[in-house]
Amino acid sequence: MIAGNESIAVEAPEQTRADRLGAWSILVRNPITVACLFVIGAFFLMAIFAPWIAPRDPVKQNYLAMSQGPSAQYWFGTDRYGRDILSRTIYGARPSLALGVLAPLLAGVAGTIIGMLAGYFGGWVDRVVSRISDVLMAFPSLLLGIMISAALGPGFTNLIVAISFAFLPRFIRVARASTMSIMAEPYIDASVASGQTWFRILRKQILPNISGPLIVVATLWVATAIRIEASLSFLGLGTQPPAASWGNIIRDGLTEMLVNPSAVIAAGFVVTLCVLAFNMVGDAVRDVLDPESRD
Amino acid sequence: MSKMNRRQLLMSGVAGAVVMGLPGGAGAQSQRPLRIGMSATNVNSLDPRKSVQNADNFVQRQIYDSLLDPPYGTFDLDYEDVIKELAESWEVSPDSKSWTVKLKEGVKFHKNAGELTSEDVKYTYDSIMDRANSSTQRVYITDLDNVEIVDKYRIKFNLKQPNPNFHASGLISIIGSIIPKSVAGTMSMEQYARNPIGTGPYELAGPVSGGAVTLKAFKDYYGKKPEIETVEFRYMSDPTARTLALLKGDLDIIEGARLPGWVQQLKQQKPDVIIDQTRPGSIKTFFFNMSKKPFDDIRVRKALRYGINRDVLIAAFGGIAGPSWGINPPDFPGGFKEGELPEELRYNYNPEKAKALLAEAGHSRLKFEIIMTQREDYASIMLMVQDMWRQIGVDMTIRTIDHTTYHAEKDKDVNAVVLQSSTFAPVSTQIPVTYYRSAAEVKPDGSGDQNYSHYGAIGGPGVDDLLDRALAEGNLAKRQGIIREAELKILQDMPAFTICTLSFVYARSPKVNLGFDVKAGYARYRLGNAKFTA
Repeated sequence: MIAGNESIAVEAPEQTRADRLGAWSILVRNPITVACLFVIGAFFLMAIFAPWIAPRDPVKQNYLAMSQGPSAQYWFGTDRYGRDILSRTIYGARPSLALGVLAPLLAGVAGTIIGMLAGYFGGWVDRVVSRISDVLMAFPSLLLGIMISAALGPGFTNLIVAISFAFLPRFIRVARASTMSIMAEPYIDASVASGQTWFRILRKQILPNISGPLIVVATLWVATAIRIEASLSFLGLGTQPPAASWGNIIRDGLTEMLVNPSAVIAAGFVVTLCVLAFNMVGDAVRDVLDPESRD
Repeated sequence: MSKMNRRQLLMSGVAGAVVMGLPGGAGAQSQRPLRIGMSATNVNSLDPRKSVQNADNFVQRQIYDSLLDPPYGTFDLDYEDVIKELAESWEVSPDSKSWTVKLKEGVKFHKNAGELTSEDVKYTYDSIMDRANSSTQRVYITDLDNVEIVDKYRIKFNLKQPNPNFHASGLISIIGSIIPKSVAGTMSMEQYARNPIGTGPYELAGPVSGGAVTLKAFKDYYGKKPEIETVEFRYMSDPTARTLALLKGDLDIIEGARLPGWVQQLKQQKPDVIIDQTRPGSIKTFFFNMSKKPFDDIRVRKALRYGINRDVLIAAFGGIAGPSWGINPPDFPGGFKEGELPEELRYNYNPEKAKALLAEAGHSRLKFEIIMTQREDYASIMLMVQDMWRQIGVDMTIRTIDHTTYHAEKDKDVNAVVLQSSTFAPVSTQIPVTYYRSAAEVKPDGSGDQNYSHYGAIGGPGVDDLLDRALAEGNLAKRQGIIREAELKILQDMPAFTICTLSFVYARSPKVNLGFDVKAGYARYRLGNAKFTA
């Protein structure tokens, strides 16, 4: 037993502030990434300030202006209930982005904790966690999302639970594997030898060193979360009427797509643009944080 | 990871969602099949005794002949006009309590199941009346006491009380479809649901898969042999997929989408399309669940009624919806016309009065949640009502679920407000008795019937008596008079109301001639006389 372990220097080689600043400067060096960051920023501003930006109430029906094409009055036209598609598209950013951020965040927090515990303790804990995550991984995220949404019923809260649950095994795997690789490092042995508790080791030594891959995973799954939200709302399992979401705007617009395609085009375009921007940024973050791809 | 993301990006394209529902292109065939797209996901049951969805009824109408039926394309139920399919002749006793049908001789069942006799008719009706079989048709013949075989081809229906309209509820399709007695010993009802045997112009051509049924002309059919050899039914619940398949020529007839503007938009794309539209079509009824607060308060119910703009709702559907002032639509015999009702019972749109009634009842902001089916006609009406009620300070949150689950849940008394859609024969007693009689009260265990407001059990004194009197009345004019009296009382109490009628719509290629024009009737028609004109 070593007394006074605070005197022994066993701190892990954490990323320095300079490292992080360096990563950021590499990230913004690419003009495409910067453009994508601007697009994402614009979408967030649109979602936050929707009540001020949208020209009309997104759920207000107007039977004198049903199924109209784009015009000076209605830039994106109206749907079959006379609702302004531009306003609905602007408001539709709210559930999509809220879910796009919240679902990977919740799955990231829960998955990291579970994965680190499995990687650290090994044995039966690892076996149980790994088998459960194997089972969950066997289902594509969208299918798992549909199954959970169908079981819980539609609605925004249930949607967050469903998508977070669908993402959980992805984070568990990364956190577990990263933890296991770091467990072989001498500074972990030193920390154990110095009498640090498992909780402190996980928090102080392991978590800071596995955060890079986890941030990459989280960034990449934001785009998937937005896509799944749109898909589930399209299927009627997500955002409920009359509230707008990009998925249900496409669904509502589909039956009149042949004569008035503006709803499908508008909502389809913003989903594509948003998912593309998040994917590009996610790829760029991965390139920056992955040491092997750095010069 | 990056490969996966690109793939996901590609998947986010919306066009794929449209294309997925489309059937594959048809190959060249010497004998061209008639292809029909129905609005349902899967075949549920092809046994007429157990049918729950219209798509199955449409298929059954080709497989089975009925004892009687209204002239094709109409809902004409006058004694002298109804057509005889399996019946050679029929007669009703002067007191309307006994109906005798003489069957045609030499009518053969499909699959060598023998000749049609009165034994088969008795078996069919007995099995419907047997509670153990849980037939969905039993509710229509609760006044039938027994079925008596007179001789090999003559059968007598003995009623518990007079019913001059028994032919409308008990002898026309789908209930009048006769099932061979010989199947009782050879297969269970579950097996029969997928292996139906009838006497109709078409018989099942092969195994029933989840979403497709193929029929072929029955070579031993007693009547005129169909001109089209094969009929293919495809179950496609997505209206856009059906529409695109019709435009592309993959389907000849589709069940339309009962959505605001759908007919007009289809005509813009295909000006020569033929629209078959039944009037009045289905009856859309709105129920207030009087067992749940605050719908036990008549002021709240009346306020919500005044908050609905009937004219706007009907106009939005663009010619497929119609008004109903009373419980029975004006198209039905005895149905109230607008001018026949006192001003206060017409419930014309009056948002100010609605707000005042809500304030009087102590509800400045009323909030409640309901479940609702995704099916387009229900969802459209509910979405419009939700918006209208928002204007009078009522927030109705809608939780959307699939159509089958909606029906199951609604029948367990879970909703505060229920929207129900059904097609009824134009007989004055059917709607009031089905929806407003205490005996039909909905029950939490799902064993009840379709009185979703609990009217009669809660409030509505005297209406049960009026309905019973109407059912016991043999004179049609007197019957209608009693029903109108009951309707006035129901309108006064406002437990539920007929919000509108909505036509069933089928879109047909101009290359298909049905042999008759569709004007009214149930949401199905016969294809035995259909032919290709080009």
